[in-house]
Amino acid sequence: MAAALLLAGLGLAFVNEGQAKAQKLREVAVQAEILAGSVSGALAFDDQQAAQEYVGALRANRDVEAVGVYDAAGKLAAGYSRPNNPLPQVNTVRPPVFDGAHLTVTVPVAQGDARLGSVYLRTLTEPLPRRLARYAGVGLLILMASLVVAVFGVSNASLSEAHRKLQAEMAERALTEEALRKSQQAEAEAQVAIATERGRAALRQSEQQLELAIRAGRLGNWVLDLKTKRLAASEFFRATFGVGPEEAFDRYQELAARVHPDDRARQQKEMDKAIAQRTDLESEYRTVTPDGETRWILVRGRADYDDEGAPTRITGVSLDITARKSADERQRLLLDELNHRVKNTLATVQSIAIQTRRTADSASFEAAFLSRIAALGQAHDLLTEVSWDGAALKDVIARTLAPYLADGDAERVALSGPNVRLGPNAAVSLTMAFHELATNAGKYGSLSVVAGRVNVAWEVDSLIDPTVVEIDWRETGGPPVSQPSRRGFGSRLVETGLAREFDGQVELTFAPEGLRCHMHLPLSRKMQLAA
Amino acid sequence: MAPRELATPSTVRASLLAVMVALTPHATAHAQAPSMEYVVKAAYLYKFAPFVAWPPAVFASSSSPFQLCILGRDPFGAALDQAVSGQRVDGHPVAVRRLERVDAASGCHILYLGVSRAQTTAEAVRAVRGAPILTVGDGDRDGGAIIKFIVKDQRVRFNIDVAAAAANRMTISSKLLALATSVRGAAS
Amino acid sequence: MAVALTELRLLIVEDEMMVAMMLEDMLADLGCVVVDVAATLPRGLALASNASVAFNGAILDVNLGGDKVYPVAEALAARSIPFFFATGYGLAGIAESFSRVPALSKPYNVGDLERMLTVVFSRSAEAGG
Repeated sequence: MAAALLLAGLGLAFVNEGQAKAQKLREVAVQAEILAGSVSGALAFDDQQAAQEYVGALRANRDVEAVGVYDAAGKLAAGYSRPNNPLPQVNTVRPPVFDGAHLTVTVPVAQGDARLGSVYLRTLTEPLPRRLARYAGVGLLILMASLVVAVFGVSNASLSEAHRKLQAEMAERALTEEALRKSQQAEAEAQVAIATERGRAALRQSEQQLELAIRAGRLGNWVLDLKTKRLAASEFFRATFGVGPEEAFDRYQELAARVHPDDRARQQKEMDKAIAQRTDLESEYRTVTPDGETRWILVRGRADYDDEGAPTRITGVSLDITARKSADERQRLLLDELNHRVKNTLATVQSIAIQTRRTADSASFEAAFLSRIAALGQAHDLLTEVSWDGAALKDVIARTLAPYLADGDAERVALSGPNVRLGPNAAVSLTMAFHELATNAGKYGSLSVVAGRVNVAWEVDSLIDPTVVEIDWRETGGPPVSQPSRRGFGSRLVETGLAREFDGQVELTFAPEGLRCHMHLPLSRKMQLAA
Repeated sequence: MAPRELATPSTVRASLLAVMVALTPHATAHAQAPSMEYVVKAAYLYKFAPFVAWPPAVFASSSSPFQLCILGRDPFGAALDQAVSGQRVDGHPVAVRRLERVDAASGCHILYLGVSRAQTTAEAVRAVRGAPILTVGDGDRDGGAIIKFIVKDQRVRFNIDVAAAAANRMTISSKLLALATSVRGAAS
Repeated sequence: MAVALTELRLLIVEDEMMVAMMLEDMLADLGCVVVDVAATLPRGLALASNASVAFNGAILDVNLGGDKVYPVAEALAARSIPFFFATGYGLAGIAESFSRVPALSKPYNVGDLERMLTVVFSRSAEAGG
């Protein structure tokens, strides 16, 4: 047992020898590096004095036999050496040299990219007798320990413990190497930072590309392998799914996952059908991008088949039709609107017919009915002229009175007031109302005689809320007026219908000098004062 | 230089002057070589670079040149071109430019303040103040430059003004400060 | 059990003047009483929420010159007053939440109107509404 321990101890000593050499090399290399760093400035600017000062600092280390600082040409600039240890006059940088009891290390001197010179350092390694003495001491310790074990039978474990402790001590010495390594690590970290910045720039670029692809909306192309379900998709195809050019998008299920849930069944069916029936695939469906945006895609494709007739793959093109779809949507809305207007007009005509039939006898029904339909047509004409967007009140009134202004009769009618613009419904209603007033004036009122006059004036009172337009229709110079026995369709339309439509008040007064109609109508979205 | 500057007569004159000055170093090289003092200074000029920190934004790319500018009359001649030939600063190739007039946008990294009829030393230092440019004065021509060459005991030495360096957002390595004959403005 | 049309007191919301008048006349011919006619959404809402206006049924035009009549419909539903829609847009134009409400398509004749009145208002009578 003791012999084994002794052998182990000697083995340890040999290992230690190798470790010691490496350790010494590390120490000396670090010393040389530190000196090189310090003298860089002195070498750059030929400050021999400063260089000599740094060199002199190493004197305190008794193991140092010679140290020299050399310029960029290799010539000695400053140095120090112990007797019998000459410095070389010229230095070149080469790997370290162990010869007998000495270790020689040379390192370059640089600052940034500039090569400024080199450093030469020669030190004593441990002289053999001293080493042997050290090992002998260690060996003696181990011998004693083993004797103790033999005598007291201490277990193996505690000796292993001692061995471990020795190892630990040597490991600790290796920490000196850290200083050198750390500077290398800092450089590596800087490289990583640069690479990250480049990576970010690449990501930004790919995001921009995705945006461009979406905006251009050009044809994408794609290939789907039907056996492996692997997908190859071009940039524009991917863009419609909100997938960037560099992102993973190479399996069919990734595509299927991004199809709008309501369209998934149909999309799958259309593809299966085209493949099974050997027809061209043409399919429109919605996609949902990761941002939650919905887009429409038109996909066209054709499958390839092998000798047995089994489908191998399907290839095709795609087009982002989101814009087209929203145009279709707008058109649908316009058609709906048109439909609505037509229906309403039909209902209005129906109403006019029914009303006229009630209040006119059979002889005059046709004339009255046609005259009212004509007024309705007039209103529509006026609206079409202004593209259904704001007919002027003045024009509406003028047109209903036009039939009564034959050749040079312009003085019979006077219209005055600010520019009030009417929406389609308001234009139609006011046309119908003024038609009734005009027809009545023409048949029984002031316009039925040559000297009679109609004066229509309106003004907007913006001081009250809501703003109101006051329209005043005044007939003069006509035959005497008396209160009618029953309310005809015309008065009902003017007094009740108009008031309701505009949520205002209308008053018909059968004054002896002529009919007067006063309308008090609030302005609103359908009737506004224009500039 | 902005295009509109080329139009005015004074810049035409300055350009002519620059052309003449540019031709002068060749003449100098053939007629009389620069003195030993200026050969040493020529070598030192670009050697300052590794001991000084410029902000990273001064270079457009890793291959952009490091600009060593000479304002006014060039006392170095071919010695400077030889000294910087093949040299690099932080990977950037060194290029020499000769100007009659400078400002913060001239693109210089080191600016040696020679004698210029278009701009005095003090004016030039003021014009580039705040920009990351290492200004180098010589002898009596100081004007507040960061580094100033002096000759002491038959040797070329230099003084450093740390406050001027800070004003131009530059940091001078302590190794260089240790070699300066005098350092001014260190307290702030 | 059919409720007598003569017992109906109706609120009408319709922005087309002529159509409102025609509807009024048709209802008068059928013996119903028209309590009031509103041509705008604000007026319609005011009448629909006003407890002192005594009516037991309503006919609503869906589109009131840009505004939709649904707020009035909701107010009536909250008061359990039965109603139906009259619309020129077609039945597809009615909002999802009101798709169960009966609707009459314009133009309609008095026969269609009578049938709709009977169905809507007697059904609610049976339901005790």
